[in-house]
Amino acid sequence: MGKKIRNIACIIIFSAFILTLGAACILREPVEILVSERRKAQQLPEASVESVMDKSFFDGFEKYLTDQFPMRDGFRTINAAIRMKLLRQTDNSKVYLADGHISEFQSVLSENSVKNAAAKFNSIFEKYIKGKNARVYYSVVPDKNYYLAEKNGFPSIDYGRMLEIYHSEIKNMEYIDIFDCLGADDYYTTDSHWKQENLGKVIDRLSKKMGFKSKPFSDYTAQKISDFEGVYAPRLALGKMSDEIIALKSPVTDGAKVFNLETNKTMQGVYDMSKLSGYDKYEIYLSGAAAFLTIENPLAEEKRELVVFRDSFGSSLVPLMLDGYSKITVVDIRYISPQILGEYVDFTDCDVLFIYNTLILNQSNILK
Amino acid sequence: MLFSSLTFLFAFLPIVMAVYYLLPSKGKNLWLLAASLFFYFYGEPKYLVLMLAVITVSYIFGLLTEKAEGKKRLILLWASVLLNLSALIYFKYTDFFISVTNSVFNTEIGLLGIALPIGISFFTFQSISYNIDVYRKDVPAQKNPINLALYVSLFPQLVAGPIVRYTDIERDLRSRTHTIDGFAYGIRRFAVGLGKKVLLANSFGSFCEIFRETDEKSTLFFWIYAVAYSLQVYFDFSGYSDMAIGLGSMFGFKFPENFRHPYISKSVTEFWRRWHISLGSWFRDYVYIPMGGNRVKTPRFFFNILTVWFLTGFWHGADWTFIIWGLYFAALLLIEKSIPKKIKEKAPSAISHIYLIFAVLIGFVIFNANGVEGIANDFKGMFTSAYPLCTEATLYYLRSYAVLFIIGIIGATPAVKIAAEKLDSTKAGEKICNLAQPAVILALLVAVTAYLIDGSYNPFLYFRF
Repeated sequence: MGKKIRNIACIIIFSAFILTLGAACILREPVEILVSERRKAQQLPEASVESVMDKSFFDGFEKYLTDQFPMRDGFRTINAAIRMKLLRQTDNSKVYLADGHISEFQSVLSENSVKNAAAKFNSIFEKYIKGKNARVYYSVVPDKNYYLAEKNGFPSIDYGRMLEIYHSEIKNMEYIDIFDCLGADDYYTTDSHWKQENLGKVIDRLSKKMGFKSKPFSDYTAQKISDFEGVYAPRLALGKMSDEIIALKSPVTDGAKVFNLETNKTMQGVYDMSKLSGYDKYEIYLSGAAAFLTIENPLAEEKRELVVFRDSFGSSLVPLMLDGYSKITVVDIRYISPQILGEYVDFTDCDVLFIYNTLILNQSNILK
Repeated sequence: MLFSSLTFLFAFLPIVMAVYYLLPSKGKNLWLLAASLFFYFYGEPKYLVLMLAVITVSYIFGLLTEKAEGKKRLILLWASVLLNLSALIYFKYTDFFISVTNSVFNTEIGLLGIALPIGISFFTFQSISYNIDVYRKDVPAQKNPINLALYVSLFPQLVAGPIVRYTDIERDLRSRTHTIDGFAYGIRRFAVGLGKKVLLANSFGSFCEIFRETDEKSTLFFWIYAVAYSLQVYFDFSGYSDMAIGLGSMFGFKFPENFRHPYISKSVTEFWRRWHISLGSWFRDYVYIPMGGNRVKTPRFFFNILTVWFLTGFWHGADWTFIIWGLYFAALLLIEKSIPKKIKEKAPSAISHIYLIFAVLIGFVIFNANGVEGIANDFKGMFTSAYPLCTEATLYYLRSYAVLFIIGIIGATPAVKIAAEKLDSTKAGEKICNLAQPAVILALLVAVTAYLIDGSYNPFLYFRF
């Protein structure tokens, strides 16, 4: 009798599970965006004889079901919990948790990539900057694995070797070391980026080396903007984790005019609050990814220009350099080819700063 | 379509199951056939025609063979076997033969790049076995085309076995009973197989992928990889067989067992009695014994073994690595057979077991190598000092996957099964099992769904065979 009941219980549980979730998959209104994963959700593919015969319909349907599955975030959390809590795996697809921070480790140093990045910057110097009386600097932003990975027993790249190669390849520029200005807690716990409000030492170091005027951080108004769930939290998927995102505001940052070459639009102030409703709230800094921006500072006390070659770390850094310059040109050569820079930038008598983080140097094929 | 896919679990299976049990007995086979053909169509739309052709050949030649007399029977048998084999050879081996021709004769014949129809090695072997069984008068030819088509295309065992003989399910095709116990047994086997595949095999697969991609290989890493791949292929294939047997049971069919904890074996001979049993018995009954088996003179016996294992290797894939793999096991079997029984019996159990594990690890390194050069490279990593003994990355991944390896190694033995059966045999234990079994099934389903939603690594290794 007992075994009969057990068998019936097995049948009921199995049938209820596949039938209920199966019905929910069909009846559920499809979502357009997977908010926690910052991407569009797969929609039901269009069926046609062609799409069925070439399998694209079935492949699309498989993706549709995966993306639109009921309680997707909850199941992803269960998956992470099984891997990391039950099986004691120390990372979830290279994403790990250490010292309260989530990060993604890198274990392979691509020496060729570092050389390639240096070669690109050298060629920009040779083509546009050489002989223009410009003061040229370069700096490297450590990714937070530098402060977390090796210390906590995770695979790590040889940062010393990376810098050694980079320094030996870069020509005609002065290095500004900021590795000692930062620590793990100067980065968001859920994201790869640094916190703007913790960049005091970095700005001090840059301003001293480059000779521009900077404002004490106590003179800024710290505006807490929103809870910020960085890029790593949903990848680790161990439940809700978030950071506080803060914008340091002043009359200079509010009065600046930011012109975006791609959109041909000018924005008042360096913080774009419309991005709060987007996937990535870090994009409030200079509107996020942009190929080419010019920032005019009407309150500047002297005419002095800076050209910054940067990645996304530069978005939160550049607004804090604005006190020292009347104009800052911000270039991201992941999105604009250096071949056409001559049409838009005059480097004469400028300060020039190449500042890239170690993740980009190790994967420089994304630079144009 | 993979069993371990959301589409199968939450769309195909519930619909097929619900309609199947709502239909009267007469309609069940037709519905299962329609579902099976759709299942194949979903994975390979353009090759449905091939599947139908194989079915047609088996059906017609089965009927003709049964009616024919004398030599005509043999001619008809060979015709059906050759037709099935020609489909297998064309789709699976053409490019291999062209490559060999180009290498030997220095020609430049272009490869055809023919896509391999899913499960072709399985369903052609099933068709061949049917026609041979009819020829041998072991079974009458199937008159009902729906039943024969269902035998060849039945979706639970269609794409990755077990290789079900017609004799195994002939009676079930005609009439079968559906019981609560049988259905529940099927659910248990299916859930366990799903767990083996998704939770264990895929995780070991991720480990192997990390090993292949890393630049920080070490001798230790090569050996751990060998263990990981051996566990992956076991849980992948035995998990699939469990799912097939479970699904079969849910629909009232009784499929043969395909794995019986092969890693507890103490010799290669025993290993192959426990690993992919349906393939081993197929080659034994349709190739080895017709060639004379072991009741022949020693040179002929050696030839028979080498032929069977050459074919077993070649069946797994059109690559030299698979042929080498097959011949490697042939060599081990011949060595084992040449050692007197008394000596084998005297060997300490632990030593025999270590020998078997070592032999199997080497075998699967050959099996998974990227060409002959890959075998050399993997052996170099395992047996020479070309790589450091250990690296930081090796230790990191060993630490990160330690629990998985422990679960995998225990799970590859019958320990859990024995413990569960022992518990279930007592009164108090039975009560615990009454609660635990449904709970474990639910936990497995939740965990597998979670893995499938989040995971990207989900191939079936035996799909390519």
